[in-house]
Amino acid sequence: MSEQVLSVEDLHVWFDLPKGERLHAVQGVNLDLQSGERFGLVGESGCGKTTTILALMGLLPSSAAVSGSIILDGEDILAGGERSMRPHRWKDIAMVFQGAMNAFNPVQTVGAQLIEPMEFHGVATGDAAKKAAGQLLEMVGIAPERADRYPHEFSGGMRQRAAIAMALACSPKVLLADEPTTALDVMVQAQILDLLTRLSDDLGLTLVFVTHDLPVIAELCSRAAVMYAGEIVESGAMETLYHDPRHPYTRMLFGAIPDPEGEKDVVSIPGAPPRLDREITGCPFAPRCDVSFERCPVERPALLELGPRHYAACHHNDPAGEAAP
Amino acid sequence: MTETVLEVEDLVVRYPVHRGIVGTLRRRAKQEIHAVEGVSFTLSRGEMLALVGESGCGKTTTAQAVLRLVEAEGRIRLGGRDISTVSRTELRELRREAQIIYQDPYESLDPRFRVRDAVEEPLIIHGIGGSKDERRAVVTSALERVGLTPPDLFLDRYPHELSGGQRQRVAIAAALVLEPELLVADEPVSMLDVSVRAGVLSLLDDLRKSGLAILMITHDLSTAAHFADRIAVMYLGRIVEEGPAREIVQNPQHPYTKALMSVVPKADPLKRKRRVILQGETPNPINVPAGCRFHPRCPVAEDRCSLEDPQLHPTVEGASDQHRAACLFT
Repeated sequence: MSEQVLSVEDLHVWFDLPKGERLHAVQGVNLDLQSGERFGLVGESGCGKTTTILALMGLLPSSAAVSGSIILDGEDILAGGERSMRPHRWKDIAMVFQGAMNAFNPVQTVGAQLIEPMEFHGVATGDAAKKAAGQLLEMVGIAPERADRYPHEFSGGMRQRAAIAMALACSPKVLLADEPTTALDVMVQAQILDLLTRLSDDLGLTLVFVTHDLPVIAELCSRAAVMYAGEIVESGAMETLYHDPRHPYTRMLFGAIPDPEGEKDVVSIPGAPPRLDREITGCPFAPRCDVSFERCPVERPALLELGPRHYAACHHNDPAGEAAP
Repeated sequence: MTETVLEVEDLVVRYPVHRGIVGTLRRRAKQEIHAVEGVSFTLSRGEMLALVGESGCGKTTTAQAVLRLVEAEGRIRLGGRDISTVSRTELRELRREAQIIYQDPYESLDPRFRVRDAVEEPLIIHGIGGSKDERRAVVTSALERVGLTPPDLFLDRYPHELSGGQRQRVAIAAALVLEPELLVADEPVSMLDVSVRAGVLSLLDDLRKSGLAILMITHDLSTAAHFADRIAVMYLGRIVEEGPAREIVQNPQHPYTKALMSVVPKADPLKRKRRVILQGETPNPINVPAGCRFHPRCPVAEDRCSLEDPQLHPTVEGASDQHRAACLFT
């Protein structure tokens, strides 16, 4: 059907901690993204979702060790380190950050900051780049004349639009968005989600949307992965995750969200996620799980395919009781 | 039967805008931000009222004015007593009866205070709670009440040793030791992880059932729909719609409330609905639009909306006369 744009295989990220310890932030993540698809990555703080997409951009600090492969259009961009990452960053794979204010240089006009990546990657220069900057702003719903303005002259919503324009400056294939609407009001959030939907439809952009907010992903994405303690515990079509979750964490996460009609009960998940600076034995969710049994604390469940593009890592999906490889 | 704890009438808060030296020398006109423009509501024992709205709508300023943390015009009655004009020394007494918890439990707790000290401090400040041992007993039972059990496990911990949800519970415990009549909760869960939000909200719900009056400030209509008895929707310093929570979410009357409800993301992908996305952002509260303050963004506005300023009135369709909206068409 549609072609594969980006695939991530067995991605691990470790951070060095001061006392010689290591924090295993991402523990073997696999992703497989088709062109033009809107994919959500959801999880609570510290689950490794932001670390995962920073690894895709090659923007992790030097204290991080990364292993695995990130295959963009058939090429492993992780294998050659910064040298293989650099030609693709912003050009083929771009990112929108959570705090749009911090994504801009306060002493440069917004227009100048849109032109910079274009000139760096040789996409456009001079007047052509200027014109392209105006068109980018128009595309995200900002008057092109505002290219001469500074970031502080923009409202929060406009800044986030401008940040999206900046990420799109070199016409990337993949756009990573890290909680781009978390700091915004619900109406402005709706405007931005609308914009992202339109852009991904019109430009055939592959969107990876990272958030802790499940309903936002349900509005925007067709497919999503739920992360817990550095690994993907379930992934599948949004409808499947909501109506037929096969990992208790997915089910309990949906159960913890109040619905706007105010009808179903909301139940919080007891306990807290495990520390990632220690080896985890068994299922990382077992201590908080409401259906765990003897096998859970001792054996780590593998991510099993349960249906077309539906995966979950829970022993309850493995009735044969056979240890998965 | 219902005992009114808080009565707010015609609350007005305006902040002067600094003109700067140049502005003053040039005699630039003095301007004011109209943060709250005539807000009235009541809150009873065992009731939770949610003030809902986007940033800049005046919901937090309203809450601060109720506690007299900012100066305001209008009348505020707490437990039957007019507190809008009481002196600073009398205010201290008032603080015992009305407590506030803030959005960010990472910042509202002193990082150098152990849990026992943070919860005990209000007792020391107010000179109540008896002897040291008696105060300790109060602290222990407050921790039990907010679900930090067994208390011994938490007494000697520092804030950095607690999760976000536990920190917010400590902040609630510190508010409860004074046995207030009113608790103001300003975005109590927006900084917390999704999985623990429900727990903190259920705790507030239990406190409400035990008789506390709670004024919750939130931008999240879903949370308000779930936990509040009544909802008041604010826009540019005014309440534009108020009523029983269920009625507001299931049968919103004001076009602003309707638009807000339509854009609340739904967890069930099959429930995606047509969204009414308002363009632009909330206007500047320095120059409030004439007539209905919502008319420049209103999808159903007509000419008369820019001339007449609608007041809150009972809605035609609303089942109860408590459901009121400020729109010329309701």
